[in-house]
Formats: sequence, C-alpha cells, structure tokens
Amino acid sequence: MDQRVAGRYAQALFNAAEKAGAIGQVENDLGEVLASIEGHPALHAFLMSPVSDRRKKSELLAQLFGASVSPLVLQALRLMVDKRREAEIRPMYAKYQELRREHDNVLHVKVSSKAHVPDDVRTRLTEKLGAQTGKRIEAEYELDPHMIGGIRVAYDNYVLDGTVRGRLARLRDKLKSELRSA
Amino acid sequence: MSNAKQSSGPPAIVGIVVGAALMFGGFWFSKNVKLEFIKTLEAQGIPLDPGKTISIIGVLLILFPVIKFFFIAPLAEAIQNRTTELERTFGEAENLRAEMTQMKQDYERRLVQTEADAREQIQSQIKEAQSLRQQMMAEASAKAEELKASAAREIETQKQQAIAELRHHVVELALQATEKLVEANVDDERNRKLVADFLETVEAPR
Repeated sequence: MDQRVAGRYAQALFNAAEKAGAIGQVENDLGEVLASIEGHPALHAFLMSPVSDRRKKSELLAQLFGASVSPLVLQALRLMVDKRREAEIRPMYAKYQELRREHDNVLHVKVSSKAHVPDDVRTRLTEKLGAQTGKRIEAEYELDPHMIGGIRVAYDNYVLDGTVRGRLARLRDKLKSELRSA
Repeated sequence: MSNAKQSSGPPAIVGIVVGAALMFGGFWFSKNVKLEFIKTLEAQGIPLDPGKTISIIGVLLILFPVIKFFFIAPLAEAIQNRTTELERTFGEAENLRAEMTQMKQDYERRLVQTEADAREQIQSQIKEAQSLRQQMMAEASAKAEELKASAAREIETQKQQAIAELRHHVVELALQATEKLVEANVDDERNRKLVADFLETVEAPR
C-alpha cells in the first residue's frame, strides 16, 4: 500500500466534503461502506482481487451503496476502483479521519483497559485530557485481556501508562538504574 | 784505504829506476872492484860478494812493482771487492735483520694492540649483553606486571559484572513474583482504584 496515494485521495475527498459541508457524513458513509465490505469476506475478496473486472466492481458498488451513501463517497470509491486502488480504501479512510480530526481540533486517543471503563470515568478522562491538551477528545476504548489492571491511553506518539504492568516496568527500570549507578 | 796508501807511496817508476841502477851498479861492482876484506873473507871460507848482493837488491826493487802490478794489486782489488761485497751483504743482512726486528716489533705491537682491542671489544660486548639482558628483564618484568594488573582489572570487572547481573536477576525475579502476586489480587475494586489514581495523576503532553 502506498500511503502517499491514500493521502492524496483522502485530501481530495476531504476538500470536496468540506465544500459540500458534509465532512462528518462522508466519514460516516466511508465507515459504513468499509464495515460492510470487511464484514463480507466474499465481497471483500471480489473487490480486492486484481483479476475481477473493474467495471463490474464499480457497478456492484453503485448497486450496493448507491442508495445508502452520499454521491461523493460513491464517486470516490468508484474512482479508486477504476484506478485499481482498491487496497488504498482503508488507508484513505484512516487518512480522512486524521484530516477531519485536524480540521475539527480533535485528538483521537486509544484507551486500553482490562475491564469495561465506566461512563463516569470516561467522562472524567476525556474532560481532563481535553483540558490538558486543549483539544476535543475522541476516545476509542478497547479491552486488553493480557492486562493485570489499570488503564493505558495512547495518542500520537505518546503513551500514558497507568497499568500495573507499566508501573512494575517503571519500578524495574528504576531499580536497574540504581543498580547500575551503585 | 789501500788505494790511499798506494797513492801516498813513492811512484813505481822510481823503484824500477833505482833497482836498475843497483842491478847494473852491483854487476859492475862485482866484476870490477875487489875489496881487501872480501879477499880476506874468501880466504877464510866466507864467499861474500857485495856487488851481487846490491845487484840482487836492484832486481828485487824492479820485481817488487811488477809483482805488485800484476799480482798484489788485482789480489788486493779482489780482496777489496770481496770485502766490499761482504760488507754490503752484511749491511743488507743487518738491514734485513733490523727490518725484521722492526717488523717483529711492529707485529708484536700490533698483536698486543689486537689483543687489547679484542679484549676491549669482548668487554664491550659483555657489557652490551649485560645491559640488554637487564633491559629485557626489566621489560619482561614490566610486561608481567602489566599483565597481572590487566588480569586483576579483568577479574574485578567480571566480578562486578557478575554481581550486577545477579542483582538484575534478583530484581527481575522479585518483580515477576510481584506481578504474579498482584495479578492474583487485583479485583474490580482495586482496578477502579488504579484507574482513579491514574486519572488523578495523569498529565498529557500537548
């Protein structure tokens, strides 16, 4: 996959959506289309196969999503299929999300925990992170069964590690550092 | 020296002339003069003729230069030449002997000098060898000391490294045990407490 190609498609689609005032709708439509495609292995295999006919792929997309997604999204998808850039749809979606977050001053954080994070904790977490970063927080929560306990927040190039294993790792580093300096 | 004597004596011609005069005078005296005492002596049985005696003396005076000219002079010359040759030979022998003596002295002196030089060279070589030996021993000793020190440092480093590794293992084991202990004891309540502590202390970089 070529990230630069995906970036160019995403930037073009984002510019068009911004002009149409449908940035959020385009993102939602793209998400639904990708979920549909990836949720059906046969459809995914047909669309991603290099031997499948491009015209049939384009017609299939129009039949499946013509009524449910915005014309902008459908046009973009058909264009990518025509240019044999099917594999770039997922990276293009990710890049579109980055552009949208940058446009809306949104910080996407990934929160990992052993157990389900209660709503009140989620609210306090997004409020605190938003206050500290100066951005609106968009959190994505995931369960990590390998965790012992605690919580870990990751965004951009930062990791805020509040897990037990993280604390033990810091303790390990500290002890080893003291042993080295001793 | 003999030539000088010959040149300083009377000339030979004088002897010949005198001899001829005495020879002819004596002959004449013997034939013509009869002295009384001669007659007395003849009467007594002593036949003395002074004229013949004088004549013989004259003959001798004539013969003497002749003998001298034909025999004595060549003989003297031969003797002289022989003497000169012998003197020259002896001189050469003496020179050779002196030269040999000089050569012998030179040889002995050179021999002595050579022996002295050899002794000096041997002493010098001995001193050099001793110096080299001391230098090599000093270098070997220094190298041995350096190796010893290096080995000691290496041992100390290895020891410290082993101790550090041991400590790290101890820390690792202790933390692994702690992790298992904590994992076994973290329930929902403790988990909420951990999350709450995190929310209290978290500081997000911009």
